[in-house]
Amino acid sequence: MNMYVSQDLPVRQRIRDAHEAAIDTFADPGTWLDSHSRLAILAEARHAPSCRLCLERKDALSPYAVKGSHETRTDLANDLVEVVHRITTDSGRLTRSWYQGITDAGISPETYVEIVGLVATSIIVDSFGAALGCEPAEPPAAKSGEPGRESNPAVIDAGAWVPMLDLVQEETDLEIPTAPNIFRAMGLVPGAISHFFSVMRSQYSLTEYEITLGRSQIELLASRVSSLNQCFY
Amino acid sequence: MLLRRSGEISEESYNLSGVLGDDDVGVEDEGLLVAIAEAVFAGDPIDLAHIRAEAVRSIGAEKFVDAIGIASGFNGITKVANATGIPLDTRTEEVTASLRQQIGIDDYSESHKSRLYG
Repeated sequence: MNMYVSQDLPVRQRIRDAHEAAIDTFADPGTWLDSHSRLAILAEARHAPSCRLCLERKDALSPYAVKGSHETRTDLANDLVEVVHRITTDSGRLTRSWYQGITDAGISPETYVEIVGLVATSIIVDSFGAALGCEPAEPPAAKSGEPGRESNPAVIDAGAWVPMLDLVQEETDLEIPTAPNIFRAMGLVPGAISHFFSVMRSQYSLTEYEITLGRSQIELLASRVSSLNQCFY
Repeated sequence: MLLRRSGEISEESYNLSGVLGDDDVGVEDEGLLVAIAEAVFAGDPIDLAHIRAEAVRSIGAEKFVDAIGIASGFNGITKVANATGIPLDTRTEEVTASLRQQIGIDDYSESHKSRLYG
């Protein structure tokens, strides 16, 4: 795979490398999901913006007032499709009661967290590629093998919907801890943390890194996108 | 909210209400950067093509690619935050209380969304 080589725009090598590795990782058996399901999640995340139900919900005052079935492109189970499509298209209006309904219906918190990581990773890679004018990267073929199904015991209830990584915290001069909650959020599935942050770290850092923008420009972009996503954090 | 801290460290003053509204924030090239952020979030290929051409002309290809790196990264990381319901980090919650209320970020809080949507 040689992502973005057809563009004459100067994509940093660290980003190319991270994105190529991340797309390949979708095809690896995960912690709670097999290769086929992980690739289906990638396909559904890509399809969700054109799903009619998602479009109707996005236009509604409350997405919870619009009932119906998602348009799907895979054989992924309906409850998993609901998770993938909602996170992709309307994450700013998700609520704890929606999450509880999802887990009450049988999706484990561990599986949920793995899906969150896959969807978020796909959104970074695909929205970067789209901004360059590229088609989404072709996913690799599914691989055989079973998910590891290893629970991570090093988590605690720290006020999120899901258990978070239990880490010693020290404050930095940016007034955020050494392990901010966004890093701890997917603690139930360490593989999801490494998959997601391998991409995120190639594009953004809280400390000095090689980039042509000033810190205030970086944080303005971050703030604006966070606002558009109705993100409190 | 790191923009607030960035301003403190660099001893520059920003109008943070502009982050959520139409006011100027006071950051160099902010009109274009905001347009890039909005286009990356919306994902419309035609809008993206327009803003790409304008940005390459105006700020150059390297800055444009770095800008879409930030915008796409936060387009993903906000999904993690929104979908896991993580609280603010303790110190951030303490030092941004009045700012959040002032510029409307509290409207994105878990308690506010639960009141609206159940």
